[in-house]
Amino acid sequence: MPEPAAMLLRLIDRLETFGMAFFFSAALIAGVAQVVARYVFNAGVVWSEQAFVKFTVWACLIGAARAVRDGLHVRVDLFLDRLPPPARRAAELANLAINLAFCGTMLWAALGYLDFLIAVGTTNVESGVPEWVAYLVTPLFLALMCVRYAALLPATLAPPGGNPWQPDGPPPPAPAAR
Amino acid sequence: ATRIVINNDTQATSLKGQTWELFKREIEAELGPRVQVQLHHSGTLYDQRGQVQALQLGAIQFIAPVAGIYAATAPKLAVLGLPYLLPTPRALQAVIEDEDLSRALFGELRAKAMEPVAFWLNGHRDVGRRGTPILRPADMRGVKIRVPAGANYVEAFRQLGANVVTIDWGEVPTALAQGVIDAVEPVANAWLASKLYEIANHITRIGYVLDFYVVCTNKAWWERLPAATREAVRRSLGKATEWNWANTERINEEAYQRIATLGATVHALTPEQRAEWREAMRPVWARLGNPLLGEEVMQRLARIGETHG
Amino acid sequence: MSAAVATAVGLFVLLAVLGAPIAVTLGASTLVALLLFDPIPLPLIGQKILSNIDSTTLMAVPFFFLAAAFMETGGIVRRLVALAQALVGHWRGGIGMTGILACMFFAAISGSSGATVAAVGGIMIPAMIRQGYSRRYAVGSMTTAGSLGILIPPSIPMVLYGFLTETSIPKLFVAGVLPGIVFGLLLMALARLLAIRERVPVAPRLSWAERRAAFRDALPALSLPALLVVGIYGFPAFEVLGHRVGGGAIFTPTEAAVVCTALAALIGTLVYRDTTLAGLLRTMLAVTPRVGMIFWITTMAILFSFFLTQEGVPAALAQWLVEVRMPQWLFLLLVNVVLIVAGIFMDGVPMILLFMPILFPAAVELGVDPLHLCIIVVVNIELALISPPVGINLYVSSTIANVPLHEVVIASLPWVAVAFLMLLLVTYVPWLSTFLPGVLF
Ligand code: NA
Ligand code: NA
Repeated sequence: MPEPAAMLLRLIDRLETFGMAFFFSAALIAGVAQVVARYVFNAGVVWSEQAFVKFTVWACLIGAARAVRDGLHVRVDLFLDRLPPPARRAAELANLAINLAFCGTMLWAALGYLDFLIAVGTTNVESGVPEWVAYLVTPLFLALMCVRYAALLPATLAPPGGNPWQPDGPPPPAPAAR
Repeated sequence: ATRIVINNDTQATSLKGQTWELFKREIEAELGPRVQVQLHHSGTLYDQRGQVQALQLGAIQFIAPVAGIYAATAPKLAVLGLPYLLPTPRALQAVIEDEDLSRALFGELRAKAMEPVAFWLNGHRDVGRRGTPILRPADMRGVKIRVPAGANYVEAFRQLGANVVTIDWGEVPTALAQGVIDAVEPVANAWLASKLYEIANHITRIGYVLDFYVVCTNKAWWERLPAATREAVRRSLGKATEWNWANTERINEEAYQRIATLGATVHALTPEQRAEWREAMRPVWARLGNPLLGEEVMQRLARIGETHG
Repeated sequence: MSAAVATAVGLFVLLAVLGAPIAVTLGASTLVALLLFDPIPLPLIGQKILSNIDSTTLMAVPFFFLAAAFMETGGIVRRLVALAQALVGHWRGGIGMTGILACMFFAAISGSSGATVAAVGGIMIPAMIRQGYSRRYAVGSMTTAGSLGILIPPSIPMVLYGFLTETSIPKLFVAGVLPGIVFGLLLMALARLLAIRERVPVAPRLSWAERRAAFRDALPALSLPALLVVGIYGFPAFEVLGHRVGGGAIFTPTEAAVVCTALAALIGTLVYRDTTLAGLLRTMLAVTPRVGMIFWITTMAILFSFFLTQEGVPAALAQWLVEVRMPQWLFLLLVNVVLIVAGIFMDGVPMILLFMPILFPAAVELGVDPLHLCIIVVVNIELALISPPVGINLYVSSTIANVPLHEVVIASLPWVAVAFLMLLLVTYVPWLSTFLPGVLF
C-alpha cells in the first residue's frame, strides 16, 4: 500500500478509536446521571435522554465502520467456501464492488438529508441542538465505511487463496469470550 | 390516478385514526378511480418526527401530528399549547380565523413547504396518579410526571415544582407500573385506550392543554393539484373535520364514563379550583410566548382565550 | 406479488448467496427495488438510516453487551461461574441448565431478547466452553433461551401489542409467565438430554466448606443481579427518622442496562481489582464495533420492513387470511405460517405493527382470546429472532462466540425444535396463556 494511503488509514484508526471511546463513555455517564438525578435529587433533566441515545448511536455507528477493518460484519459465506479459488476471487471482487456502490449511494442519501436539515433548520425541542449536528455521524460513518472497503481492494485483487475480508486472519474473540 | 399517501402516527381505532378513515372514504366517494388513497396507521411508514420531513420532501401528502411536533421546524406553534391559554375549541377556532394571528403563527409552515389545511381536536389533557388524587397545583410538588417532549408541557409542570420527565410514550405503561414515574397526563380517549387508568387510578380533569392536530399537506403538491381535484379533497377534509369537531367531546366524555365504570376515579374541578391551576401555570405564557411572538401578540391570544373561555 | 417485491426478494437471495454482509443484503435489495419501481426522495433514506435506530429501548442491547464484557474483564463472570460450578457442576448438564435458568431470571429484568442473549450469553457461552461443553451446545442453547426475554415479562413486544390492540398490558405480562416457565423447563430438559448425549465432563462434588468459600467470593458479584431486581421492581417502602424511603422502582429496563454496566465497572476495578480503567477502555473498544455491526443490520432490516409496508405486502397477506373464511384452528395455524415466513425477513416490532391491525379483529371475531393471540404472536417473534438470515439473537451469539452465522443456525437447530413445540403448545392450549390472568384479575 502506498505511504499516503497507509497514513490516512492510521489517522482514521485513531479517529475511530477516539470516537468510540469518547461517545460510549459519554453515553454511560449521561445514562447514570439521568438515574441519579431523578432518584437521588428528584430532578428530571429533559435533554439527558436525548444525549444518552445520541451518544450511544454515535459510538456504535463509528464502531460499524471499524467492524469492516476487523472483518466482523456477519455474512453467509457457506457457498463461497465451496467455490474454487479463481471463482471465489471473482465473487469477492463483485462483493466488494457491491459494498462500495451501496455505501456510496447511502453516503449520497445521507448528505442529501444533511443538506435538507441545514436548509430547513430544524432544532431538537428537548436539547435545543440543531438536528443536523446530531445527524453528522451518519455521513461520517458511511464515508468511513467507503474508505474501509476501498482499503480491502489490494487484498481482494491479490492472488486467490485467503479471505480478503479478514486479511489478517479471523478476528480475536469478543472480550466476554476470552 | 393521483396517489395520496397519508401517514397517521396513531392507531386506526383512535379518534384521529377514525377521522382519517372518514377522510379516505369521502375522497374515494368524491373522486372514485381518479385517486388512489393509501392510509398507513400506527406510524408504520414514518414516525412522529420523520413524517414532517417526509411531507416536506413530497414522499407523502398528508400528516396530522400534534402542534408540538411542528415546533422543531416552526417553533412559534408551541405557543398554541401553552397551559390554559386557549382552553376551548371556540378559542382555537377564533385564532385560526383571525388573519393576522394565523399569518404570524402558520407563516413558518408555509415557508417550509407545508400548507396547513385543517385542525382536528383530540381533547383536554388531564393528570392522573396512582393511589391518591392530585387536586391542587400544590399537590404536584415533587411528583414524577411524564409529559410529551415539548417546552409547553414541560414548563407547565416545572412551574408547579414537579419532577418532569419526557420518556417515550411506548415506555410509559412499564415505567408507570413499576413506579419509575408517578403520574401521566394524556387526554380522555388515550387514558381509555392505553388502559393507564388501571395503574394511575385517580384522574383529575385539570384540562390544562386543549390538544389538537394540525393537518398539513405538501404545499407544492397542493398547488399543482388540478383545481377540481383540490376542491374535492378540500370538501372531503371539511366533512372529516366537521365529524371530528362534532364528536371529540362526546367520545372523550364516554371514555371517562367507561373509565369510571371500570373502577378508576375521575375527579372534576370546581371553577375556583380550575382558576387556581390556571393562575399557577400562567407565568409560563410570558416566559415561553413573549420571546417567540412578542408581548403584543401574546396579549391578543390571551384576550381571545378569555373571551371564548 | 408485485414486481417491486419480487425484485427485492430475488436480490436479497442473490446477495446473500454471494456472501454480502447481511446489512448490505437487506439495504441494497431495498434500495434497488425502491429506485426502480417506487422512488422516494433519496434524502428520506438518509433520514431512516439514523431514525431507525434512534430509540431508547434499543439502547438496552449495547449496554448489556458492554455490561457482560465488563463482568468478564472485571472477574465477575469467573466468580459467578465458580459458584454455579460449586453448586451444580457435579451434575451432568448442570451448567447448561444453569444457563437456561439464568436466561429465565434475566428475562424478568429485561424486555428484549437481544439484550438477554448479550448479557447471559456473554457470560454463559464462554463459561460452558471452559467447562468442556461443545461450542455448538453453548451457542445453540443461549441463542434460543435468550428469546425468553420477550415471553417472560417485562416484554417490549407485549407493550406494543397492548397499545395497538387496547389490551391490558399488566394482563398480557401475567399471561406470559406460565408459557415462559413451560418453555424454560422444556429447554432445561433438552439441556440435560443433550449434555448426557454429548457426555460433557462432570466436575467432582465439592464439600460444603468449598461451596461456602465460592459463595463468599461471589458475594459482590451477586449484588449486581440483586440490585437490578430491586432497581426494576422496587422494594417495600420503609421509614427512617420520619423520612420515607423507596417503594417504587428506580429505573426503566433500559436504564437498568446502563446501571448494570456502571456497577460491573465499579466492582471489577474497586472490589475485585481484576482490571483497571485502561482495561475497561480496551474492553469497550473491542465491544463497540460488534454492537455497531448489529446496529447497521438493524437499521437496514427496518428499512426493508418500510419497503414491504409501502408496497402493502403485510396488509395484503393479513387481508387474505381474514377474507378466506375458515375455522379457528386453521386460522391460527395459518397465522403461524404467515408470521414464521414474515419472521425470516423482519424482527419483532415491525411484525406487530404491520400484522396486528388486521389480524387482531379477525381473531377476536373467531373467538380467540386477545391474551392467547398475544402469546402466539410473541412466540412467533421469538422464532423470528432465531430464524436466519434476519435475527438479532443469531448475530449477538455469532459475535460473542466468534463463529460464522451458519454455524450458529446449525447449532440452534435442536433447540429451535423445542421452540416449535412451544409454538404448537401455546397455539392449541389457550389455557396456558389465559389461566393465570383469569386467576389474578
Ligand atoms: Na422479559
Ligand atoms: Na428471522
